Amino acid sequence: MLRVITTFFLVLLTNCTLLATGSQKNGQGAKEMGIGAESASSALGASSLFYNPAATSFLGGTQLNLSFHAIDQQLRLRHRSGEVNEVGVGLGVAYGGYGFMSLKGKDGLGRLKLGFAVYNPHQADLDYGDDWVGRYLVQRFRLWTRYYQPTMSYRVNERIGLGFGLIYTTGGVESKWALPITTSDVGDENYSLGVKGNGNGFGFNLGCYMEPLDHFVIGINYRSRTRLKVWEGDGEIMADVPSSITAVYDTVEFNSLIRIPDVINVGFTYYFNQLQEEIALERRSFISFSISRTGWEQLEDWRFDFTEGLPNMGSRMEYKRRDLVTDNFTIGLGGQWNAVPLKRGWGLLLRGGVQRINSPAPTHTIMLESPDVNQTLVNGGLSFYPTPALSIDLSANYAMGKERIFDTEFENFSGTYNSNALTVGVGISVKL
Amino acid sequence: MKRSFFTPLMVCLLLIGMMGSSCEPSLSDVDTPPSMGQADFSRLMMVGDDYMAGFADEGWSRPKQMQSVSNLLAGQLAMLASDAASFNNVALAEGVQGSGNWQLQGVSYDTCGFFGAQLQWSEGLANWDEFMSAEGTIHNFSVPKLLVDHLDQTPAIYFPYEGAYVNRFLGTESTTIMEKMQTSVQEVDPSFVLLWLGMQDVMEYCWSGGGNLVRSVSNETDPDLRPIGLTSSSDFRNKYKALVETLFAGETRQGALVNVPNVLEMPYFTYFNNLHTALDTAVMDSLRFRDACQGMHLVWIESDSNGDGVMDAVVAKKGDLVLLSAASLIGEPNEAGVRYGLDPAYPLADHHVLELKEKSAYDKALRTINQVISAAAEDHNLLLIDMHTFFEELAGGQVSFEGLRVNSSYVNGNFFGVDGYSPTIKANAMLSNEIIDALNVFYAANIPKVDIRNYSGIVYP
Repeated sequence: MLRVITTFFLVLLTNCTLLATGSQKNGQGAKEMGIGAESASSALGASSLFYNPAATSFLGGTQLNLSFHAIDQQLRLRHRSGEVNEVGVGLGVAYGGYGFMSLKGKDGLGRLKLGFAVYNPHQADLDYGDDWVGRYLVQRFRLWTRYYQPTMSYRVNERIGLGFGLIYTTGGVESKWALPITTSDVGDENYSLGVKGNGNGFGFNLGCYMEPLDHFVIGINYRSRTRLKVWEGDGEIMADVPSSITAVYDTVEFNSLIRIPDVINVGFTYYFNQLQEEIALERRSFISFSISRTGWEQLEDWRFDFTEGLPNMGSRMEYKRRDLVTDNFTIGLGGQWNAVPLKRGWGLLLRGGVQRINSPAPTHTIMLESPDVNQTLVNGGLSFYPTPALSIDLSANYAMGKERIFDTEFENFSGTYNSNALTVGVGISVKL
Repeated sequence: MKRSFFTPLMVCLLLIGMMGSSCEPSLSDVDTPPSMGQADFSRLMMVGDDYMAGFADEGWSRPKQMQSVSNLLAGQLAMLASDAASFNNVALAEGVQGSGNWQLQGVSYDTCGFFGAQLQWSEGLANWDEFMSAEGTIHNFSVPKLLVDHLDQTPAIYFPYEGAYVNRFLGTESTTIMEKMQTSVQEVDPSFVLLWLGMQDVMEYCWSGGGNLVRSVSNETDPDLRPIGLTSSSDFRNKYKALVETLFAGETRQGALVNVPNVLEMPYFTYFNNLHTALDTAVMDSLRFRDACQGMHLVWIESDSNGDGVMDAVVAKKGDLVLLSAASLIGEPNEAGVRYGLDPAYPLADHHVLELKEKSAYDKALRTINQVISAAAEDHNLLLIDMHTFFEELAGGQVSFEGLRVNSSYVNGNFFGVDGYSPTIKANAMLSNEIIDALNVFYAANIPKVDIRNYSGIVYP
């Protein structure tokens, strides 16, 4: 066991990157990551509170799951002038803590499960550098979120379960742009304007888990959009400008709505074992297909409104005119194999899958705050059960990007870019 | 039994690690090498006025001259044709102070949120023109304040900057610039000519509030001041045609003609009206001045309202433009305590306002000028670079370079200098790139663009 974990972390310490779709870092649940995530129709344990809360109504007992994923994305961008920027992407950590319990009782109460989840599904940490050619568009961008989700699921009958989670979200954003200010007749002198602020908001996570036919499950999950309100006084403006105009910035504040997109996922899973067999649902072998849509389009309206017009910046910094973003689709095919059943005293589940993620940026556009390319992902993972009540879950995902050409006519900014990512995760699951 | 899965597991994870260590994303090598395409930039000649000469903030200095639109453009073309590097200017000597210029002292918002810029005139050398070098064959015939109307005139008729500059390379006061240009064309035999003239034929008229005394802003009592009108349609047509025939004699010479923007969209003409005035439709669309937090006042101006040559005090109307030159003066009391421009007893001087009737004359002249330029381009099969549309887009806030958004706002628009009319050096780089874009398309070329990061915008104290 020690050798496994040691090897895993040795791999982690090599140069690796992680699965990243826009600011959405799918690092919730090492089990789901093993098949390629977005598994609304696969009930793999407590982490289903994120992927489809209704799935927990089909799971037994009280279950807990903790998972951590390291996300290392590499991003290269070449401007039309030939200048290449190796963008600094911070090593992201996606985490999740999930737990649910079955209520005791007959009839309705016994069909009810209560759960709670904490996770951070959206984050970004990009450092383009102060002097790169697109410095006026962005120099640095950070986004962080944390979701708190009390959840309840109810098994309506033997074939249908429903789940609902109320989400309270906290988060923040930091962005920095170069200002074309000089104090002499030479070129730009690295003056900049930055904003940083925190906000909070509400959303929900709704799911339905159905078994219309034996062996065959359909899962539907909808995670609503969330808007984190950063209002006057909630944030700070960091102006690095000549002292002669500092006073202009002193009284200025900003407003912004951090927009986190909604996600809808539909999954289809075929179980090779009967659901009624004594093997717990989360350990059964299956193959699953899923398709999901993420509502990135709303990012077009994301902007920072300043309470007064700022020198060389104006009264607003908005993404709309260059970040023509569309909703994107992801399709995935994955499965789980119960390689070593628990009756041997220990158990082993192996997982794998492939995914295709389409970039939300249409042809010729780029989201510099969340640069995305079309990606093909290869996923793998396992769960090792030293005892029937405990599993160690490992996952790895490699996302191969396809180079994109961007030519944003309005911003007069063009070039090509590409991104790869490797995600490695570890989790622990307990079933009481 | 454990051995049966440990080994494949370790191999699997190590494979993932190897993938990770080689996951630097690839970018294809699709760079198109720089090229002239179907153009020949080996022997350049450029003709222009302030923008091409680097005259900015009403002053003249070597750094601004060497970073003018024409010189930045020549620098880019020299990357493709080494001969283009020999682009000779009539230049101020290195290290010599220029003619002086307006400089920004600070910006502020008043308590009502109105933006203001504080300027100071920086004195230069009175005899700056004596340090102008005019040696060798001249490739850059860009002259500050040069009118097409003046091309066939001797320097005596020229304006202060124009005359001082031209004197240096004409050498004799009986030579016209057209004659000098003919000589230079024969010497250089340019393979490519860029011509951007015509703006001053309307600009000086508008700048002076509609044909008043042309001001040397640093000294409004300059003895050289004289009235100026718009260049007449027939004069512009005949002189521009003669100029084009001089520059593009023969059928093989390539070139581009640049048309004239609507100068009234520049902040010199828009800043005050956009920020400080509102229309009072109850009083016949009268212009009212937002007196910083102290209420609204009718704006009174001098005008020959009856057309009898007698100036009366009248209320400014919709369409009248209060010029930037009046921005710091309006509301200031005279010795009798009457506030400038806000009382019929002390109206805005005629040279501080471009009236609607004067705008109408300007509009007509501008249309003619651009029609003449367009026709000349067509007749000689030359590229027409549409700066008129570019400046319209600039005024509409629809222009960006490498993500730097620019517009026609005063100081904050990141394009125009503190005089509200001339581009900053960074904006010179943007204009050069706009010209390069047009050349690249027309000649199927790939001229590298100017890196705007390397050039200064508004210079703050």
